[in-house]
Amino acid sequence: MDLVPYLSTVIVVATLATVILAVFSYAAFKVRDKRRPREDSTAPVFFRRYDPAPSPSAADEEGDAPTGPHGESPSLGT
Amino acid sequence: MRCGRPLYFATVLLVIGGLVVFSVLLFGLLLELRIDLPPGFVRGALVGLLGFLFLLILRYFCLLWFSYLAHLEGEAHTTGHRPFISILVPAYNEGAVIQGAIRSLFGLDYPRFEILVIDDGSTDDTYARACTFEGEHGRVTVRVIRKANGGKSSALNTGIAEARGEFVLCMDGDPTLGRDTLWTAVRHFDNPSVAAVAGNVKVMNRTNLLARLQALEYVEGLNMVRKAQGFFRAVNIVPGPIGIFRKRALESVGGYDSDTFAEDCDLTMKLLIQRWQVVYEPRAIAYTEAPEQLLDLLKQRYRWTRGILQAMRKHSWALVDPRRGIATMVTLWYMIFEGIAWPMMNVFAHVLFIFMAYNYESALPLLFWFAQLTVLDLAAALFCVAAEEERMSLVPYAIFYRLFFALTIDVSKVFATIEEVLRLRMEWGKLQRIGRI
Repeated sequence: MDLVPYLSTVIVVATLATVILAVFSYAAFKVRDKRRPREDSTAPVFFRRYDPAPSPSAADEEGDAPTGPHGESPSLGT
Repeated sequence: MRCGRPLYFATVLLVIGGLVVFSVLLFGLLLELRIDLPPGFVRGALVGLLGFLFLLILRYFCLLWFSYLAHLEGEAHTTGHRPFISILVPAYNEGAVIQGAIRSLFGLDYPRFEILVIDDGSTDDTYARACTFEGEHGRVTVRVIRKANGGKSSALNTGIAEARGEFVLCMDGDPTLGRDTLWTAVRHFDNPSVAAVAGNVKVMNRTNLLARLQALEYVEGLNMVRKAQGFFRAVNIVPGPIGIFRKRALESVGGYDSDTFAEDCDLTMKLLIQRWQVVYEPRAIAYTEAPEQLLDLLKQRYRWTRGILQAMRKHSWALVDPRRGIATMVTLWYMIFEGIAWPMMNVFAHVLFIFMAYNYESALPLLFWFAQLTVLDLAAALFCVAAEEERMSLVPYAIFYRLFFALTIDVSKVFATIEEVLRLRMEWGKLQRIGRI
């Protein structure tokens, strides 16, 4: 029995399957990577955090405008 | 395969010799093949691939030969000099593994060293967990530094600046070191021209086929190359999980840069270009956790590929500067061969052979290509497994390695290369540690 044709067929099929699998795996990796949560996305995506403004007297005492964690003026989420 | 096992060594060498002769015969048979091809692109490409295959055979022969020579001189004596060493452990969100990593360092067989954990602004409990070890532990001192997040390079540079030792061991947050790592590595620094010792990285979590294939790849694909390059004292990459450096050499090249995604490769190239020597020590072992899922593996290789290409582009001028030393030049050119040419040609060869099998009903070239490289992989795996006293059960995986693993990785390398050429944006994409170590 000549083994070469059988071996050749096995190798061709395995190679073809591997190439296809490799391409699709790479595409899957890229898609997954794009959908990965980013480092800077810890803040709420759709709503701005509600930070109650301090009472006017407290603000006057401190002498500064109230600011949020990133320096922005707090406001009600819209 | 150390001196105590000469019979085993001789048997392995005999089998390797047989495989090498068989591969030469295979190449001869391939040259004798008569395939009816019309003149044109396919015929020209086939001739080109034959030439490339010859280069690959030469590559395996050279690596095997120089690895063997390096192995023979690997039993060099030691002077008994034991300088103080600082072990740098950069950690970013390594809470799952940091304590195990520090604990494993206490077991190192070395009289004087300190462990310096640099928490790179982790958002998990890495810092708190590391701090539980802070203080004196007999002959070992543990210090923990916390800094704002700036990446691994920045963490290691902070550690280098804070290190009290004349030599520093740089590692990742997760590996476990072998007990003899420090004293086997430090003896190389008796030579004042040696700037760094590349350690031997082994896969710890051999839990599935993919991890076992990586275990073989680390032993055969990465360490054999380092061993051969180590013979010329021009190792091209001191691996991130374990590298021991002369602090003065690191300072002379400005430490780690953060402008590439392969800071270990970049630093090694800077050292080589400054005419420092870089050697390999197979007994300085770090056990690391390999990706167990295909997509995680592709993510890791994507970063490696693009990082190495960035480092090569950064230092490309040294490719044609013989003043940097012939060994350095050859090493840099070899990186181009290994990092760009081989993956490209391997993928191209497989696509062409599939095309030929479909259009000309001849799958023989593909069969020969596979058989040729598999025989060489088996010979290389056998040598490396014996030389590193690894498990022989790894050797048969060379067949799967060539058939599936190498091609899959090469396809992703080709895509990553294209993205790098197009300079597409990329991010670090830290791998999630499972914490098996």
